[in-house]
Amino acid sequence: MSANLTAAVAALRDAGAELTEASARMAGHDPGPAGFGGDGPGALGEVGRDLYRYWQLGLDARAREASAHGARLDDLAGTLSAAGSGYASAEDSARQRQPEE
Amino acid sequence: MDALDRVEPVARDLLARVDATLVRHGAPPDHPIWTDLRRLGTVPGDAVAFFHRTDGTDLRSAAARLRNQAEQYTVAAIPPDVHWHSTAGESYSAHASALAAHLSSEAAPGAGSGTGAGAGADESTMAGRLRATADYAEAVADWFCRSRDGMAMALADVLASAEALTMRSPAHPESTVAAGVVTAAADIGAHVLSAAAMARAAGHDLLYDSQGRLDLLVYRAPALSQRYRFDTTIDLSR
Repeated sequence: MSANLTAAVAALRDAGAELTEASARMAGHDPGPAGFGGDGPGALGEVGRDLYRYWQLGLDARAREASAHGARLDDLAGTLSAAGSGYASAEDSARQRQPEE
Repeated sequence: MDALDRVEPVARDLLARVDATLVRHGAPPDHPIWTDLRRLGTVPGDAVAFFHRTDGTDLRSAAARLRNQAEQYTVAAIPPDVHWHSTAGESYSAHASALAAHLSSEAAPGAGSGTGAGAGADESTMAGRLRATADYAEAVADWFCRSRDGMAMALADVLASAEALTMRSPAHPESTVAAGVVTAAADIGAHVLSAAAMARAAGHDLLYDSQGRLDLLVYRAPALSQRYRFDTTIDLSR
């Protein structure tokens, strides 16, 4: 595999790993229901819990987006690596079939 | 320290007297406080204590961390091409371009500085959705700030009121509490709960206005008739 291709595969894998890690970190950004007033009395607490539930949905969506996109980048890296290896094998075979001069 | 931090300690004793009077003696039957007592399900002192202990600091910290993550998305390195002059090379470029554009408008090939992108365009990327999520956390924090200001103003009003003087009059036997004291407690409570009810309505409005902005962003893969093929001519130009 060429150096150019090797570098591209590595860059894709690194970017994919960063997104996977970002997904894992997402839950750590949650201040919890009390941060949104979910521990409040009566109807004030209800509003806080509603605001918190919507935040949770958003944060969960961000985690899923990062995880899925990390997998896509890793998949592209794998496909690119396989393509490069396939080309290298074809080139080696062609070279071996060439008569010695 | 904001206005509520300054005025709440001064008003705490008055609110305790108001709450105790309302709990033990109720309020005049036709008093407007009943509307907000039923609507909010809380006494004035608890409503003030709630806003006093919640200032949105944690939300602003969370928003800052999400913005930092969004910035990381904009600098992600996705090689735009692999110098293959072939169908496979074009296919790779199409996929890489779509993946970068999904991640961030700034990371997409050919993107400008990004400063001219509208909010709608930005929210069609993962970085944009992260910023929208941060915006939401900050909007809730702002809501807390406005609510605290509203509560502080209500407390300032009642502290300077004639009803407060009535409530601070020398202690009276519980069984013979004057009707004027009950009415004064109801008036003070109604004014404070009115501010809390406005805050609650604003919270509902914020939630309503935010709907849809934090939804899951769906990736659209480029429509290609083929992905990588090894039976096509590949020209490694370098």
